[in-house]
Amino acid sequence: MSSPHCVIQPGDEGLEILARQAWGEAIASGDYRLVVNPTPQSGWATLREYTVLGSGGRPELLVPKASPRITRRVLTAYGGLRRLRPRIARQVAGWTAQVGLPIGRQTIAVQEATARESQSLEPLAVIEGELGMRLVAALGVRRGANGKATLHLFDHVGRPAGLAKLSWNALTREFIDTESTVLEHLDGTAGAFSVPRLMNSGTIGANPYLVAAPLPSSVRQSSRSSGLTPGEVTGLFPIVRRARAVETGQVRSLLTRLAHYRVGVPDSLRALWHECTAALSSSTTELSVAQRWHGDLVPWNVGRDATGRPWLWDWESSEEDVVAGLDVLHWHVNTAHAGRRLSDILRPSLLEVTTSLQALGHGERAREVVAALYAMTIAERAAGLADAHGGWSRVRVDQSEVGVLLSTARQML
Amino acid sequence: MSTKQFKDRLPAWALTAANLTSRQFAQATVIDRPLPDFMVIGSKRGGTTSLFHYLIDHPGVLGLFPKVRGKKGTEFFFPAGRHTGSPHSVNWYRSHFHTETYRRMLARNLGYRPLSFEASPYYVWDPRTAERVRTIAPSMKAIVLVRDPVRRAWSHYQERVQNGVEPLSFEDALAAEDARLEGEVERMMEDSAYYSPAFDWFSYRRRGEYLEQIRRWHSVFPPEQLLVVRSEDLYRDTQATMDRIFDFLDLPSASMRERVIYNATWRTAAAAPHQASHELARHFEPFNADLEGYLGVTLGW
Repeated sequence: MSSPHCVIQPGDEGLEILARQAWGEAIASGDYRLVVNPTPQSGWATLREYTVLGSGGRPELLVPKASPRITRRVLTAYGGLRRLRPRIARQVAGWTAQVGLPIGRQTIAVQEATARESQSLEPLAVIEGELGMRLVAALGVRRGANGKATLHLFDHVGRPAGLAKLSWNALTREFIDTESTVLEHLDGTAGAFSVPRLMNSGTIGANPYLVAAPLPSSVRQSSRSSGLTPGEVTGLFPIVRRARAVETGQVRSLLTRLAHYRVGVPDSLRALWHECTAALSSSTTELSVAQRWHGDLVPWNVGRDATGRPWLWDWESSEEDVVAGLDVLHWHVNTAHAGRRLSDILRPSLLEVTTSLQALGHGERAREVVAALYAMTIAERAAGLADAHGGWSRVRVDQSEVGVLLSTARQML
Repeated sequence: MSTKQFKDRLPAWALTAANLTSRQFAQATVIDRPLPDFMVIGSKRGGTTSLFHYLIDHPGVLGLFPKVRGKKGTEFFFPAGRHTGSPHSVNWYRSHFHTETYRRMLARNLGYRPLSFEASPYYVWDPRTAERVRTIAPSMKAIVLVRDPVRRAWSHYQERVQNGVEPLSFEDALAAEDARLEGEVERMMEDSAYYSPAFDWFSYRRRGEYLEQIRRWHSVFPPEQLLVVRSEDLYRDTQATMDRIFDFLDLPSASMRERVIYNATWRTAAAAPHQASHELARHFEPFNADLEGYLGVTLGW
């Protein structure tokens, strides 16, 4: 970061990103700075320190400097949600911390100017004040185009205390606002799923944040090959009406956003977008419309607790009044065909989820429209990310893939 | 401790091992195992499970082998796409029925040869089943239960909700039935292995249109090989109805010990939504009238 108050060297790309996401506004105020491997300096007081953990020289995780017992608990919490290797790595780090040995070589200190008079903009300090409790937090480094700082909160004895999400730009502000609203509305349940309740929300400076209640410690990724039953997926939200796609809130919002994109809709894709949106708008096929969809129903947003009850989190992409079946397709392509290009597996996936879409009340023609709308939704997300970042370099679904998705959607419509 | 309680305590691997062992034994002795003498072919939610239990209460009727598994059907005549692995052989099917040697032993006390059977409410519903049965067992007798189609539809719907596969309300499910089933029969007739979950699970209204299903069975088997029984008679006058069934099967009458209703859904006591019931009743009027004319009976629905 090019700021005299952020002593993170250029090239520390992960730390630069995290500093911008979590402490950008605080640092810009001049009252805070991040210092790597700090030494005492007058005029600055250390609020909290983190050990930087990573692999291959890339920082991945900031672990709070705390007592050995708390550090171990922070490192090993929610092991059931991690794959085997990172789980083992965390266990080893936890044991290392427990016996008082250092777990990493690099330390980051969050420092506050001793002369600070303005309101605190340090995220954890704000959250501690709102929740009325002392907290420590672990932060993961998120490099994706929609990355935001996520603070895993722990109390004074190392028990999970919540999950805080911080916004830092227009895109993430929208995500946080959406998730806050949705969590408040759902109030703990969605269909067969438990949903973390909203504990607190507000702004840090100009940027909204939220704190969701912690998941049960027993939550783990499902060991079943598909993770969720078809009934759990189709029963997530009730069908509330029947309507044409263009009459739904989700499609109207999609079309509105699309109309404002510049970088996200390059000239090479403009004609295809126009054809698809025109075809969707003129489609007369009546579809089942659900109250809402999760928007990112994928294995890493789902777990089961010790009673077998499924939990679902990360609601930032959720939308109301949506054609039923988008969650079905999204879950399927991210489980049965994980890692493959959507354009390659969209048609086979449509066949494979026929029964689930039939369960939602869709006939043959309607199922084609659902699949076309799903392709357009994923393409629009990519366009939105590209527009937000001023380019396509960080967007996983590239322009070529968007083109193929739109062509496929056009054929289906 | 009952057999079920014992089985529930066994670990899964032990049950699997026992199933494999018994099936291998049965297949090794298949030369002595005939095809079943009759089948209960439907209808779904019409009382097939209760009828199964009433039948095996008769000393001259044998359920599937081995009895301890407690299954009422083999699913042999389901389309191949319903099963994982290779399609089952006729010998596999025969391995589910008791040996003639065992039956001769029972016959010494009974004075007649006991019969074996299986029950599957899917059989009368799938348009391909009758021909499949005729191919291997042209003399097979069949029994079909027909229940007030409005109550049947509601019971079917409740069962699907209970199984976690029905996300729509009863009214919405009825409205969506044609869309859900669209194209499925055509696919089934084109591909003999194709199994349609939608056709099986969401056919609340169409499964109550019994005449088409009975006619289809009659197009393959002589009428005297099919007995149509009103489910309401089975529950209201179990002994008399079972006597009629035993007579159809050429079995002597036997006093019914059990009158329990099996496989009731947890919401059986709840009535169907009034408006949906009324509309269903209107829908079924001509179908019921045609069925009464065809069978020459009054169904009283």
